[in-house]
Amino acid sequence: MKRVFVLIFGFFILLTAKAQDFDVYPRTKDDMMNFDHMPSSMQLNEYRMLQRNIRIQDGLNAILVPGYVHFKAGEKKAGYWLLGLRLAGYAGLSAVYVSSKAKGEPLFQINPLDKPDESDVINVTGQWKVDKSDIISTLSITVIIATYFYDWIHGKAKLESKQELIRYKYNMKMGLEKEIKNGRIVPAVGVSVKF
Amino acid sequence: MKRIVGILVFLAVSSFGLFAQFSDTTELAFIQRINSRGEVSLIEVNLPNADELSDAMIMSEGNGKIKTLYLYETAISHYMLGEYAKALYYLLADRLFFPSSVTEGCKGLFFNSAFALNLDSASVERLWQVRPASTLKENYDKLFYAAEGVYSKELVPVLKRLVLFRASKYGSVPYKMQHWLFLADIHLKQRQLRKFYDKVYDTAVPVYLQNDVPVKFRKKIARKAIKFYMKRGAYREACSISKHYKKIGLNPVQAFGLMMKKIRCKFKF
Repeated sequence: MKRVFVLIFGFFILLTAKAQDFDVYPRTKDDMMNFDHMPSSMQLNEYRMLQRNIRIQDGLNAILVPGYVHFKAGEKKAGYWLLGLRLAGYAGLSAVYVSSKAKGEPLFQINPLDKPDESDVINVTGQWKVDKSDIISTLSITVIIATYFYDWIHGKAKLESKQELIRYKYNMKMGLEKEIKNGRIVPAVGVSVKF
Repeated sequence: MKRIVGILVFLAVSSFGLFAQFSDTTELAFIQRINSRGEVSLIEVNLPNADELSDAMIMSEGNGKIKTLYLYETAISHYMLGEYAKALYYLLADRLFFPSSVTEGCKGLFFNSAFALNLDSASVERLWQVRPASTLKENYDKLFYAAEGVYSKELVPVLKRLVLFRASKYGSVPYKMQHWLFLADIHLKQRQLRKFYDKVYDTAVPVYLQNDVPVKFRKKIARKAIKFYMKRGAYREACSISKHYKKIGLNPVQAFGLMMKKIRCKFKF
């Protein structure tokens, strides 16, 4: 009976949890209908870059889609590189898994014992013998993890640097506009006649 | 009270538009500043704005020191980023539309940009000698033919905009320009265009039917045109071009390719 209550309780908790978007820093206001007064010379690409922000969810997405953060930061070339490298990592890992299954050997076998097949083994300082497949699998795992963190950290830094440049540009122009108008920013009223 | 509220609302609404558009003077001051500092990343971010404003200046009538200086600075920005064809284009436009002491004094930048595009001294000198015409229309033509003579991939979208603007302003464009636009639309490479464009006549006859154009290029243009139209579902036009293509004289491989294309036209896939 207790178990049934625990299950029902758990079910209701899950129901409420499902309604929430997983986000450590939730948005406190609805900015979907917040229209900005932007300079008319602003490009669509610049506007997109300013609207974007790298959040926890993007980090999670980057696990599934290699290069996701770079793609979001508008760095397509780097994104495709990361995608390729991650796929190579997965391919290496799969190859090692399939080969070890076929041979009936466990993964990561670093041992001082004699191996039956000497061609698959590399001697390290004459004492340790490391399987070639273990090197490939270690490299593959390193590539997978490294590309993930590079994507997240470098991608975020790239996006922020782009946003800084765009903000700097328009802020500088506003400053210059003010300077040119002798430091006075006042709404001007004019009359124009068109024929 | 109502009046005061009304004035306040008006002032508030007016102030929203304050930064809606920066003046040309501000844009010039900004581009001069970043060019002199040599901040490449900032130059890169500002270039879309600079190109847009420079094109607007070329397409608008009237003269002015700000315009001539702005085009010159835009050329410097492109030069600093290694976009020599665009640098040369804006220097040419500056010389044609806003001639001044600035445009005469930029000989070094003009020649360096042209040499970086692998042009020979005689061609560069010919480009430098291009002088403004008496009418704006002629100036557009001069700018187009001078810039097109560089045969750079970079300039294709810029020249397309220029041709379309000329068409919208004056109603029509010369046939040779129309041919160029067609060849650009079917994605014919500029290095291929370099080999025969001077032989293209200023007539309504399509390029693939003009006898002075080498047969090799006529075939290539016809093939690309068929592919272009088929991709867009214009099977009738593709079919009519394929009839002309057949008349040029095909080798067995080309004949087989045409047969496949005809089958695709027939069944529309």
